[in-house]
Amino acid sequence: MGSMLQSTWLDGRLVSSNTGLELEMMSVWNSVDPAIVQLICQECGISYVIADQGFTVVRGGGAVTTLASEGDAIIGRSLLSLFPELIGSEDMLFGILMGEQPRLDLKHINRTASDGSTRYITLSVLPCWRETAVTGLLVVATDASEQGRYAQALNQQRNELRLQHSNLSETNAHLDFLLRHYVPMEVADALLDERLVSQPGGELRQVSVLFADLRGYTRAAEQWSPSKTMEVLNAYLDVASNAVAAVGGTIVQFMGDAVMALFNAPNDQPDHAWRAVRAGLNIQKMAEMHRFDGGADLPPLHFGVGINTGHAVVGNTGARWRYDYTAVGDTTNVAFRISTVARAREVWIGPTTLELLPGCVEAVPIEPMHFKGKEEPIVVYRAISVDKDAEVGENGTVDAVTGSRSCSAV
Amino acid sequence: MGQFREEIQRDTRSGLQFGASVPMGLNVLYGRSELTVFPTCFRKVCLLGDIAVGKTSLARRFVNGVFDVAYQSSIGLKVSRKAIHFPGVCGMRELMLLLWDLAGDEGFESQVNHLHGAAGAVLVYDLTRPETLAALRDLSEALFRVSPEAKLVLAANKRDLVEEQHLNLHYVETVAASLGASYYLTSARTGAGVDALFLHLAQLLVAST
Repeated sequence: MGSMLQSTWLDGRLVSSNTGLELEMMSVWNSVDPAIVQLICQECGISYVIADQGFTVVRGGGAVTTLASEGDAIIGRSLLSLFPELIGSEDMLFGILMGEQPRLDLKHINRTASDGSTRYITLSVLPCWRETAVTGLLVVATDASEQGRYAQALNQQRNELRLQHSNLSETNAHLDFLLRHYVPMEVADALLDERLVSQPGGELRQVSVLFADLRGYTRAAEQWSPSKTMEVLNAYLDVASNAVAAVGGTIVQFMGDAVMALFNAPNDQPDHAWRAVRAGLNIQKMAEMHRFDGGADLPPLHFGVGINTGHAVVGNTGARWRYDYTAVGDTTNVAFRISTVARAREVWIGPTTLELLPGCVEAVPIEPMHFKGKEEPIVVYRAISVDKDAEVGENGTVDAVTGSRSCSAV
Repeated sequence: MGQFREEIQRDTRSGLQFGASVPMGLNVLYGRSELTVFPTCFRKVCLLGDIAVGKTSLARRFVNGVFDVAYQSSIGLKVSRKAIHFPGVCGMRELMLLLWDLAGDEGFESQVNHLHGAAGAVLVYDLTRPETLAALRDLSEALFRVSPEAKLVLAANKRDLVEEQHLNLHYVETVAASLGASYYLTSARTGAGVDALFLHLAQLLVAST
């Protein structure tokens, strides 16, 4: 052991990562009892091997069980068979031999013990000096199992938190998507901002209610396949919805081939009458642009639009466990009746709606209508155009900015 | 090389033989006898990817044929190996794949440090967490910086947890193409696609030898 150990370890270095202690063995190495070194290594769970330039192990010591089982010979074995983790790093090992690389470290190498538990080994490869030349490799393996287990436990908690956070974010995004696609977006925002209470009930409020009913759809649907029926319906409902949304209206219901929209609820819109008429005219214009010809024998589809303004109870109607945001009352009923009699491609409005748009809308009166449930006939008007820009007056009336009554629609 | 590849293809059709898996730790710690057939070719293959994408599960499925549903985070480095035999191929009896299972959250720099000498890599991402794709580009670039000739395969893992209608194959194909890698839909739980992935990688490694 003496001469070989002296010449190999002269000016060598012994590193222990377990204790953080770095012992520099300089020329005093010769005076240190190797047995003490062995004892220190065993106490610290350190083992070491020295390999020659052919990667053959020529010397080993310390806590040998870190490397192999008791009794197994390590002298004469290939370094790479003892430490397969070094396979593939031969160029780096040669770099250490050539003095081009100071060291190679691999932390927390997982090894499975006979009892199935995981041990963690930290590996350091250093040059082994002999006088002024590197004659081999010193490989120090430290049993860092205790540290490793703590690190693994900490890592486990941290990763589980990260995964939970990721799952929560995904769930939230999904819920938000569902909310905004099954509930009117304005209602969803109002619920999330707590401007609306998610329970049955409502408030009395002046609103403008718009119904757009697709004429000719029922007849056309008889001749189409179910998928085509759905495709056509969705296309027209999309047109109507976009026209309403463009002026800030709220789509509250799709009822087969009809759409119901509210203005001035849930958000405050003093110019709700103007918005509703503008939405109705835009529906007609956009439907014309996106007209779908269902077939040579079928007429193209068009909307009949009815609008009425007045007070209604606006809020959540339905059962305790399931409700819709909508407006109920006479104002809504009349708006619906108007939409059922309005001619295709036309927008018919109620008298209150017109009263709120003095000098801003071009409209012609239709003969008085007798609606079901109403004792008195109602004068309905056909809206032809509405001023693009308008100002809201004190009583909610909307006046044209230009003062002209005849302005083209959007 | 043409005859060599032809041999591989013929063997592929008939089914390549997988050598007996040798648990790395046991063999080294307790000095059991080395493989009776000394491998003639070792190849280091790194498994790279974000946390909890299934790197360890893929390695265990391929090497040991087992799967543990419980999530156990990895730290450091696990090296396991599996032999793939190419009988009848001149000059080679066995390809020993050394699978380096690197912890996904060791930090980018740490994973990069372990890439030296890698002949190939399996880039793993979780089909149920599309955000885990983001890290793969940087990792592949880092791999090519230290091993320009490395072969890549993309594992879109946890296929068993994704319903058919939610599977965005176009996105997977786009990412794989941008990485210059083939991709496999894998499930470490069921084993689907796992052997095929590693076999394909092995073929790429052999072809480049």
